[in-house]
Amino acid sequence: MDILNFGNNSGAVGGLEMRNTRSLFRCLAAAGILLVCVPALAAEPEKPLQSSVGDQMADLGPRRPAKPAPASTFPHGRDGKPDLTGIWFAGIRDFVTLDDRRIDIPLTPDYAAVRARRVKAMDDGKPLPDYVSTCQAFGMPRLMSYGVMEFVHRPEQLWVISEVMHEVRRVYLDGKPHGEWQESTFGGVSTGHWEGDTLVIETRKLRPGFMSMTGIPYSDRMVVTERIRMVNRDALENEMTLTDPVALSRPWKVMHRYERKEPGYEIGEFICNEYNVSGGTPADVDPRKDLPLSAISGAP
Amino acid sequence: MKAPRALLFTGLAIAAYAAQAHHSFAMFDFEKTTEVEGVVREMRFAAPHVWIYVTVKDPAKGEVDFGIEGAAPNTLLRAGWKRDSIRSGDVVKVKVHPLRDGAPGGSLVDITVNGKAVGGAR
Repeated sequence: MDILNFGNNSGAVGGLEMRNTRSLFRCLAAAGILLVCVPALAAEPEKPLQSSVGDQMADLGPRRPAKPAPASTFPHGRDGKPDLTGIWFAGIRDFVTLDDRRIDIPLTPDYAAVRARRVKAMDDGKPLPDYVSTCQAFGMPRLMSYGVMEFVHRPEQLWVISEVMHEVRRVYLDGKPHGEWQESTFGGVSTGHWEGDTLVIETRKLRPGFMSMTGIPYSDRMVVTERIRMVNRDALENEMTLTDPVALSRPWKVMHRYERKEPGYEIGEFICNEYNVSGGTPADVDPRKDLPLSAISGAP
Repeated sequence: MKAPRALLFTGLAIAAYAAQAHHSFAMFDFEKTTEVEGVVREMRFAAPHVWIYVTVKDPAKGEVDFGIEGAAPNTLLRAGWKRDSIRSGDVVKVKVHPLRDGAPGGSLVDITVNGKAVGGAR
């Protein structure tokens, strides 16, 4: 099955939503070349995305799979596995932002209706709030799709620390059960194990939410399975499979690609509520009210 | 090729949003760019996005407070801005993508402060 790709070189349009993307594409292309070194961007075609057919996933467009290198060239931890420690750039597509209305996401009707309503609100210039615009959290799976994040990897645990939203995700690698006492959370409970040189992580106990700022809703029964592997010492691939018995009609697979930031790059502070007055994000609106009732276990 | 500074800065402002936008910018009309000139009333160099409030003299409405949303502080700092690159009382010329609803505000495209581009030390 083809999978949807979110390359870190292709997304300088991420984070911006508008009805007509044509002129923005060009502006951002110039910006990318000059300032953020997004080499493929200038050549990014404005072709429409293919529609999905059956379980053939739409292809989000240009991306740059990294050149594979032998595992012997990777940094390794004391357990002999690839050491994922470093600062990685996930791109700025924010899972699916600008392009998401052009992708056939296998949402069930109630969830597709929420998404359509939110896309229309955006088109009308009145975006509806979500958990990120209200400065709460990316949560999973959105956290793994956006911006700069630091991986601190020890054999027993992987910490993913995002710059935007200051989120910390703990992935337990010690083979023990975790989070049994916890209620559902934005990030859920993540446990991982190695299959060869691929780190396989499963995340459960999620709060219901939205995968993107355009609003792809999911329920608290979603399970996120990630298969993260080092392609070369400066590139990771994260093949993510999303299953959700109420929001998705079938498993949805996407590919995220991460690129190591240059040496010396440091994460900065980001206190989202320091001065969050951005339009369209009133803090007193609960994004949860926009979800189908089925997203919340036990809801009437 | 050496890019003209104005172009560089234009690129910076837009790229900056893209790099750190934590919310939608759909409230802004990216098809339009307008220019406003005025005096900075307040600069909020704060997460998630900086805001610059400019007092603009409008022939019809008198003094109007114009709110301009910029990029995230980290993005701007990495691009050479300083916390005090823009200060109250500065005379600024600002290009923005205006709010769709016509309210006095916009999304920062490009700014000159007392006739100079922002970016290096001041």
